[in-house]
Amino acid sequence: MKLRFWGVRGFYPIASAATQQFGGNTAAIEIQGASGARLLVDLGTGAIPFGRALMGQEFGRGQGHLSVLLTHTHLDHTAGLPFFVPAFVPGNRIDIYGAASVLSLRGVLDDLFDSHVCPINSIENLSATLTISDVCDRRFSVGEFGISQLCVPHGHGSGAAWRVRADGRDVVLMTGIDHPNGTILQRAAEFARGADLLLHDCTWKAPNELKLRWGGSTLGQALQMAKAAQVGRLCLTHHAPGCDDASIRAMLTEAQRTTDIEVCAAAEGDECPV
Amino acid sequence: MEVTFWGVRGSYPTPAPETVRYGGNTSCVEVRALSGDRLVVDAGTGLTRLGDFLANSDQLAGTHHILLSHLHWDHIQGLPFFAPAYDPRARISIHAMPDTAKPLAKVLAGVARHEFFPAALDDFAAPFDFHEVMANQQFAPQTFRVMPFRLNHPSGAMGYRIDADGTSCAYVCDTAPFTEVLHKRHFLRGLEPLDDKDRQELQALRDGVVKVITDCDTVIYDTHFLPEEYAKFPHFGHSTPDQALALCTGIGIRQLVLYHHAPNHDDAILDQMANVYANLGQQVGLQVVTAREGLVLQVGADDAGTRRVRP
Repeated sequence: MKLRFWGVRGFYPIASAATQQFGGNTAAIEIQGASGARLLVDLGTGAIPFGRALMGQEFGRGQGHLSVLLTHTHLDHTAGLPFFVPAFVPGNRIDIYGAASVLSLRGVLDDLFDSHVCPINSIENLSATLTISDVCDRRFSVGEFGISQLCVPHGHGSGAAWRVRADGRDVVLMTGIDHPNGTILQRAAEFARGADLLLHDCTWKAPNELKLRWGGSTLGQALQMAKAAQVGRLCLTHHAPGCDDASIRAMLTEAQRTTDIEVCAAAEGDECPV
Repeated sequence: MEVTFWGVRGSYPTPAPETVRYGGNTSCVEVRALSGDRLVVDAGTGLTRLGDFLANSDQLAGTHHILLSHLHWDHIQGLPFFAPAYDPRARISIHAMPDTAKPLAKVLAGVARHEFFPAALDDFAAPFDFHEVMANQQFAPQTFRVMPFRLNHPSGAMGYRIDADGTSCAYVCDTAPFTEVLHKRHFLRGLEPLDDKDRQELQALRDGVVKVITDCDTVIYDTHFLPEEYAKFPHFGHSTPDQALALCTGIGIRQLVLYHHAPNHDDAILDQMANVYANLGQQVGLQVVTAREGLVLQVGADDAGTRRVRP
């Protein structure tokens, strides 16, 4: 199993010469099994180039089938959907799984297409077949992938942490999770226990953003989680838009100095074996 | 009067190495009068960069006037991340066309909500006020005079002529040409037949635009498509540089700015477009400039030799 990062930025995309190494597209992470089967986690703007890359294959012929796991519905995890080209090809099938909340996930995603904000007017105008499932604390499988989900608090609503198992390996994705101040959610640590790789959000040195209750976690919390869950490796993602390449490199150096767990920082375009 | 481009991209941001020179942030233009007064037109992701600039230069306090051409994502996505919105000394005044059913404040509150953003409209430290603008009814934020006019775009869009310091610029974005498609509210899968009433309305729209922007010094125009792309997607609500040139020729305009670049137009394509259309413009007496992020243009003065780009 391996990951490919199509978008690793949090909050909003940032197009700048100073962010070319880690990239400016918002959350979209591809998971590939050894057989070539794939899953997508989140539909931020990174999903737009991913969708274009899919078009050369069966998705261009209307014979593609993709499952998407959403961590939550903030725009940095969903804004790519109205521009996800495979969704405009009849015959393709896209299954979206997200956290249940008081509003239906289909209704919230449909509002992305509302005529005020989008010329497509309704999610019903997408030509592909879309299934949208709200789930909470569930286990299911998609092809060769075994999937578990944990509902976690994020922002003013709920988000999902995902654990994906394939080829005998486990990756846990926590890219929209708010831990209690100064500590971590214990049930999230249980959920991530023993994973080979933990992807965790980290709005390092972005005190303004945390002060503004934008949600998200600190570097300290990401490290604490990795340690408590005894994961094999920690990958930091969801970089704050104010963090340029130099500050992400500095964060990584600091992280590596303060823990004996292997730590890396997700960069757009990179692949990461699990 | 001076215009700064903070975001020049259409549809969605393109943070890629291939677009780093012209820029990947979505629509946002700042207009400054000699008095120091400032108007912002559109609130795409470029607005976050303007917000950072205002924060770094201690200019967060006071009233920030933002004109919105329409509410499509690429024109509003930066609003919830605009630094002055988090400062209690600031006030944000939004000017936009009215919706047929709901007040503007309600429409924007339905977008800037917790399902989509970490901060919703009610969370900001700065108060927001909303002003619905009507076509051909001039209003005067600070020392500017602003004249809105209707454009041809899905669910509608408003263009603006802005006058100050004895000169003027116009923002004509987003718009389709006024020929093959009359955009209404419904979703278009392709061209639909026009009846006589539609054709009359298109002509009236075109006449309205020409009337307002005649004798403007500088016109910023939606030139999203190259002609061969437009031929495939005439129903998307955007124009080509050729269509912009045709409309702006012979009506007293000095300078045309190509703007709202398609996401697939990388730096190499835009270099080429800049070249081709600068030459075509010269043939009809128009100075044609291709917008890039950070570009600062003087309105009312030929600054081709001294033009600057913000770092």
